[in-house]
Amino acid sequence: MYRTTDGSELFVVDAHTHLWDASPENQLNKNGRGWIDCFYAYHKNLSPPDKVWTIEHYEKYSVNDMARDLFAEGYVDMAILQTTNLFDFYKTGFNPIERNAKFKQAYPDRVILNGSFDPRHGNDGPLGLSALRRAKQEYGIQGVKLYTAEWHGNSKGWKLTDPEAQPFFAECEKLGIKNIHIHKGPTIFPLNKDAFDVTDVDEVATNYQGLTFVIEHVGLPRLEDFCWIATQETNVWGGLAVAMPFIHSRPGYFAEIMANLLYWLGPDKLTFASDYALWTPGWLIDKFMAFELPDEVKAEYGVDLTMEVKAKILGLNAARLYGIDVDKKAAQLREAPVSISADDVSEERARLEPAI
Amino acid sequence: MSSTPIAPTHAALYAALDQVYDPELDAPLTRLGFIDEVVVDGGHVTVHYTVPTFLCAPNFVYLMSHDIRSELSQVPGVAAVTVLVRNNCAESEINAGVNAGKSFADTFPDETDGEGLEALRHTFTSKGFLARQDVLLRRLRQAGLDDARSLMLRLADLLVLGDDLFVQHLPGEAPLRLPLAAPDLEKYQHKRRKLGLAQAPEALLFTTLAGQPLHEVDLADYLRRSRSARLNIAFNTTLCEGMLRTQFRPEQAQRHDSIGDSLLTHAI
Repeated sequence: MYRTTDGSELFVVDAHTHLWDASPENQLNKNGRGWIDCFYAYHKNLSPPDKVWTIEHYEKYSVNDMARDLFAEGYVDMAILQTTNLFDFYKTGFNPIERNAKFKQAYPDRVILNGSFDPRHGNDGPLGLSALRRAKQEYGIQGVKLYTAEWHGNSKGWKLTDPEAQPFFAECEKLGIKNIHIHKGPTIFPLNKDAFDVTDVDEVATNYQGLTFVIEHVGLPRLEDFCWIATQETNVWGGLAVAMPFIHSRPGYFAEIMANLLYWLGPDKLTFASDYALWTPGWLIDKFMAFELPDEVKAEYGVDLTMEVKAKILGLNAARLYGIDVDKKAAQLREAPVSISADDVSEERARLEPAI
Repeated sequence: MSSTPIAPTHAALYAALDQVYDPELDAPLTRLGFIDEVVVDGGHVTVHYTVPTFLCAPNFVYLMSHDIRSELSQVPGVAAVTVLVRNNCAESEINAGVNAGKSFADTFPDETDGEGLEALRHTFTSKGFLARQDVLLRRLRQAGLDDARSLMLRLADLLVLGDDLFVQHLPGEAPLRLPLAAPDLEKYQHKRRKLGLAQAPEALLFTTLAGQPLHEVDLADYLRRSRSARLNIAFNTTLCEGMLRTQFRPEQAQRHDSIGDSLLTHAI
C-alpha cells in the first residue's frame, strides 16, 4: 500500500516478479553464466548506485529477501510471479513454476502464481499440454508467461502463430487461463528476420478474443510496432517491466515512453512491474509517484500522468485483470502486515547455504 | 604505381569503420564505442569489437561483422581482414562464418527462410529515415518555420556552414539559422542516400519513404508513427551504450550521456 502525501492509499500490484536461481551450481553451461551476467548488467546500469546488489546475492536470493523487498519495504500488496524456465541454460531451470511456488506457499494471500507452456514440448514434455492442465489443477493458475525466445535443443525460439501453439491457446481459453503474458525477446526463428518482431501478437489476439495478451516490457525494443498493435486490439495490454527503471537514469526517455503509451493504449491497459529481482519496487514506486510529465510532452501528446492514472497503473488495472476485489483484499492484507527482520534473513541464508 | 605495399594507416581504417552502422541504433560502431582494437600486421587487419548484450540477435551482429569486413577491405593497403566479435551467444559461428566469407544463411543453415539480411537492413534504414526526418522537422518548427512551409523546402534551400544549418525559407529574405543542426541534416541525408531518394537541388527535402510529397493534411498521423520510431531508436541506443559501459568499459561506467539524446528534441 502506498500512502500519498494527502493520506490516500493506493493498492499496489507488482505484475512481473521472479524467484530465480542462477547460482554457479545451477548453471548448466556458458549460456547460464551469460544470461545472469546480462541481467546483472541491466540491474547495475539502471539502478541508483545505493540499490545495486552484489552479483552473488543477485544470482540467488531467498523467499525472505523477496518478501522484505516487495511487501515490507516495497509498498507491494500483491505480486504476480512469472515463470522463466530456461531448462537449456540451468540444471533445474531459472525460475520455473515449482521454484516460484515456494513464494506462493509462504504468502498465499499476496501472491498470484502464473505458469507457462512451450508448444515444442508437445503433449507430454515438462511444458507440454498435460503439464499445463496439471498446473491449472495444482495451482489454479489464471495466467501464463511465454518466452518465445527460449532455446530448446536446436531450436532458438518459436512464434505465437506456429500451428503447434494453437492447441495451447485453445486449451488456455477452455481452462480459464485468460492472461497470456508474453516476453518478446530476440532470436526467433527464422533467424534472418527482425528478432523482436511483435506482429505475431496481432494475429493471436484477433483469434483468441477470450484471452488477454500482456506484452511485457511494452514491446521494447519495438515500441512503435507494439503501440500500433495494442491500439488495434482491445485485448492487448502493456507491462511496464524494464521501462520503469528509466525513470531514474533517463527520465526524459521515460516521459516520452509513458506519453506514447498513454496516447496509443490509454491508461486502462498498462501494469506496473519491477521485474524483480532485475530491480526492486520500492525506489521505482517512490520515483514514479514523484514523477510528472514535462509540460512540453503533455502538450504534444495531449495526455497526462495524473494521480488517477498512476493509481490505475500501480495496481487497479492488474487487479481488474486478475479479478481482485481491491477493497476486500486491502482490508484483509491490512490485518496481516509483513515484517521481515534481519534475523529472519540471516537464519534463512544459513539454512540455504551450509557453512563451509 | 609502386609495387611495394604500404601498410594502411589507423586513420584510414577508422574512417572506413565510421561507415559501419549498428543497423538498429542508426549510429556508427566507432561512436557507439563498440570497437575494442584494430591490429595491423602488414596488410592484414584484425578488428576486435564487443556487442552490448550476450543475447543480441545474431542477424544484427552478423550484419555488423560483415560490414566491417567489407568496408575495411576497400582501404588501400589492406590485403586481408579478420573480424572478431565478443559477448554474443553465437560469436563462434559468426566469427567463423564472416571470416570465411560465407553468407548468413550458409552460416546458420536451416535457421533462416532463405532470404538474405538485406530486407532486415531496409526495415531499419526506413525506421532511421522516419526518425531523422522527424528530428529535422522539429528543429525547423523550433526555429519558427511552420510545417506547410517546411514541406515545400527543396534541397537547394539548405546550406551548411560549420555546425549550423541555414534555411532559405522565403526568396529574398535572410535565411533562417538553425544552430548546431548541420549534423541533423547530414544524418537525414545519410538515410535518404541509402534509400536512393532524389539528390537533385530541386528535389523536395521532405518526402515519404517512397519519395512522394508529404501533404500537410496527413502530417499529424504520419508524425505520430515517426515520433515513436524516433523514441524507440533513442531508447535502444541509450540502453545498449549503458550495457556496454557497465560490463566492458569500467572507466566509463559513470558516464550518462548518450548519442541517442540527439533524437530527443526536448530537454532530457
